[in-house]
Amino acid sequence: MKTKRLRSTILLFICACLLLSTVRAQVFAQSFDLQALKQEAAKRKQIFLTRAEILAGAKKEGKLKVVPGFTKEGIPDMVAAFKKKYPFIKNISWDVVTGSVATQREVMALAAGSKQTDVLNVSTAVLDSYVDRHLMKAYDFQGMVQAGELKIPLKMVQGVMVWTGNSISIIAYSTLVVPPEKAPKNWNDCLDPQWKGKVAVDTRGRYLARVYPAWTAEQLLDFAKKLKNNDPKWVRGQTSTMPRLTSGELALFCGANLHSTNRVLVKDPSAPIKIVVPDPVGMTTGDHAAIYTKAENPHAGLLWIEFTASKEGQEVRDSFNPGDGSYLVEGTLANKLVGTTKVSVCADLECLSKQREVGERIIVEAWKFPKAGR
Amino acid sequence: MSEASIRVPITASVIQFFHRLFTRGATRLIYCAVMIVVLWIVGLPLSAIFIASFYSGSPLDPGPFTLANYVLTYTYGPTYQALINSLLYATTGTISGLVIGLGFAWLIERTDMPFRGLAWVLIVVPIAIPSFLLSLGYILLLNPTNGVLNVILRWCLGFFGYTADSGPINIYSLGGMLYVNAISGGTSSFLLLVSAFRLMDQQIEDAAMVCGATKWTTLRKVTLPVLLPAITVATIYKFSGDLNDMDVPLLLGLQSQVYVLPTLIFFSAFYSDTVEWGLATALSSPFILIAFGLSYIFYCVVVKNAQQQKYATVGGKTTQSRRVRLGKWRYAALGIFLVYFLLSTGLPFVILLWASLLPSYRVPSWEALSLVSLTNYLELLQWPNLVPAVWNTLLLGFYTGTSVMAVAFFTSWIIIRSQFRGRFFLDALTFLPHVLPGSVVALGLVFTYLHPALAPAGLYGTLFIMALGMMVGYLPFAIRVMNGSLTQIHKELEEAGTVNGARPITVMVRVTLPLVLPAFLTGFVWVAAHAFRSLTMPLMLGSADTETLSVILFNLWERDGDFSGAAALGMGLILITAGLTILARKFIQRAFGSWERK
Repeated sequence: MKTKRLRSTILLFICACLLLSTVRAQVFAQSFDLQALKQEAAKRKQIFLTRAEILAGAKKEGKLKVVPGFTKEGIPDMVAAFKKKYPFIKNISWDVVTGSVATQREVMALAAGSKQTDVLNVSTAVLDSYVDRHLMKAYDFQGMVQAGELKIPLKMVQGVMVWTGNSISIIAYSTLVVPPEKAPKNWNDCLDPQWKGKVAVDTRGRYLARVYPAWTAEQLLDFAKKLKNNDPKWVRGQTSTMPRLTSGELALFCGANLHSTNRVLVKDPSAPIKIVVPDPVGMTTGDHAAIYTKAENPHAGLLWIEFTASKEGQEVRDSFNPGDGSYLVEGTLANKLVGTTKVSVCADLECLSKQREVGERIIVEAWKFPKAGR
Repeated sequence: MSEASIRVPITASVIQFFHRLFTRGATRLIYCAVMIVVLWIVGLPLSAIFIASFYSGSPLDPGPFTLANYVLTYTYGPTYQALINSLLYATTGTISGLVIGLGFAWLIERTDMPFRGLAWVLIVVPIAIPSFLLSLGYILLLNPTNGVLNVILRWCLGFFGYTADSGPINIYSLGGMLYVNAISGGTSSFLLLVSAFRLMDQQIEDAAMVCGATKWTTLRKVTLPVLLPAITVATIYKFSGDLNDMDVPLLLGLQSQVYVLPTLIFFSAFYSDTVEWGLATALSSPFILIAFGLSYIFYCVVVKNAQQQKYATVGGKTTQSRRVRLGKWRYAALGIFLVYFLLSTGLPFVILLWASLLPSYRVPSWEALSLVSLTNYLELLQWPNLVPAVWNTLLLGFYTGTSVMAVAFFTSWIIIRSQFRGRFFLDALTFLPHVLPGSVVALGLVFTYLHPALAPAGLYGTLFIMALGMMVGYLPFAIRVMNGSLTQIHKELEEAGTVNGARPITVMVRVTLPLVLPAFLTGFVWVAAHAFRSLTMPLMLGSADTETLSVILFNLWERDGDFSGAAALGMGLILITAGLTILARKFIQRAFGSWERK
């Protein structure tokens, strides 16, 4: 009897030891894995931080300066929500950069050191300018996300940047002119002769080019040519087109921006316009955030980027600019509208560059607008 | 010779040396100072962009030296057709602008047309409306489908058998483009001519009529030749401005496939995210050559003759100016003015006011009336940065107006009065920004004031640098206003001051400036009103602390897509400009009340 009890005790002790050592091994393995990930990142000249390091650093910093890519009206709400989550970051300031010349100014100022910020809003059109001047700190976002140190949808990571917004091309139509039975359902309805002379098309081909890569370049060019043959009303800018749609001067707006159109409906729910999400829906990623190389508060910046890409941050974003939030995040308008529709979106910067090229070809080859050099 | 007597000649020599320095040397110092200021303000930014046009890539990341941009410009076929279209567009706009400006300047300053003061204000107020809002106003009025005016016209013409469901006016045509340009271009021409009429001496015309000349002959052979400097200035300014106009052709001309050079520049260099700055500058080079040509014409026709006092109407003798009595035509004149005002400003203003009272735009109707509210205005008043933005806007208008007119006055004095050899170059250089695309000029400013060498000066994001940036764009107009006015002031008045021992700077400030004050104030109003609505400089050179009303308007328009909100803010800008214009007009009336005649 005594022997049996002794045997059980010893067995129990051995199991406990095994269990403890397994757990310790796992923890050790995890920290060893994290160390390995850090080393791997270092080999690629990137920085890998653990969540603990990020939080500790942010607590020490206590402040932040950002250049958000979204509408200025929503920044206070986003800042308030971020502060609520991270109350130890007390002092947050921001700046807004709009337009190509302002972007050039921004890059120059950052390179000259005459401007200070922590989080950049990178314009991918002049990405080389940022890269050549080493303006973006090389954090290993992909590694940190895969290791669970940062909670960001992986598809939103692009190198040392994270995109936090998207622009979606849809079809908007005026209910004053278009009866329900004739409502457009897809891109090809823009070619319907019944709308000849009443379809608005933005002269900047990029709104249609968002349908690349779901459509090939040739398919898009063919569509653009047929669109031109339908005698469209050439427009420039979303804002100036919306009053013409709500007044009934225009019947359809093919390639309207989802969030621009939705803003009208949010402000005026009785506005006589409706949105159609065509298949495939054209999308481009935007608001690429990165940490500035000379950031004084990089850890707080990482938390900011994570927050703006998170469900909570995207909800805030979508609340002041519906349609602007990422389609990857559940609950946003883009996510709801896209649903099971095929989404045409570029997963990498090379595709984005190709998309821009297709936009140029639409303007010159399909629409025959004059362009010196082509 | 005693030591004391030697000291006297030495002291006298030193005094004579400094006396010569402060008299003749002072004049040269003024020339140098003005030249340095103009080269700094205008020359530096322009040279930055010109240099950039000889390199591939962006100014931010220049590639190797290349002439490719210029080769492309002059070997691309459509360039020439676009240039011809631009010249035709500018010519028609200039003729109409001149007729409108000359006609109303004469009516307001020289006749007894009723409500002249109000007319002065109403002509100037359109400056306050941002061009993109005004253009949209015209579209909402005159689009062939449901433009408000077209709907009314169809109803009226229906009694005569007109049954079409669109038109009769189609603004999306070459005619529509020319119409909008013609009707909306009167303000600058008016302001360039109005002070010339104010300084006109009636005795010159009386002398002609006493000698038997008819009113028509007097007008042809006396009045118009005396006003030639102001007319030339207005013509050149309007013509070059129309050459560079992109908004109207882009909005209205595309439907009819009419491309002008600025449209070509837009599609070639600005349509995508990657802007081709060098190509934009190269494509503008025909305009630069035209600008130099026009400056040379001005120099030969006006400056040389002005130096012989050929156009002087204000001299040592008392001048008189009587108002022409129109008799029964007074009210017809007022009617013509009101029709012009309605078509150019009144109707678009009403449409924008209507839009500002709605949550989203609807064609005016009884149903839409139920949606009218002041919500947009209330939201604006609750804007957190509104008060600082209003303050920044007023300050910016004041800084810019004062600094631009001060530099313009001294520069114009050198161009018109001096024998300085570089005066033609000075005139041409200050004129160049007027013919270049605004974004290109703005980029030049960015590269100048954000250069690492200047970064420690701490100018970044201040109102000062914004005013400095705006000077580049407004100096062309300001100098032309002063040029036209200075040619009318006889040198004898300044010589009187010099003979009495006044230094050149004293003569300029205490003799010449008061005489050209009407033009100075007119120019100030124009510059300040443009500064209020200016968008490019505040967006590019400002910061969160120096936000202006125009930036808020831009955010409403571009980022928020809120046309109604933007229209509401546009009304606010109109109110501020109207207030400024009324004050300026009252001051001119009080200060120069002696100019008013029976």
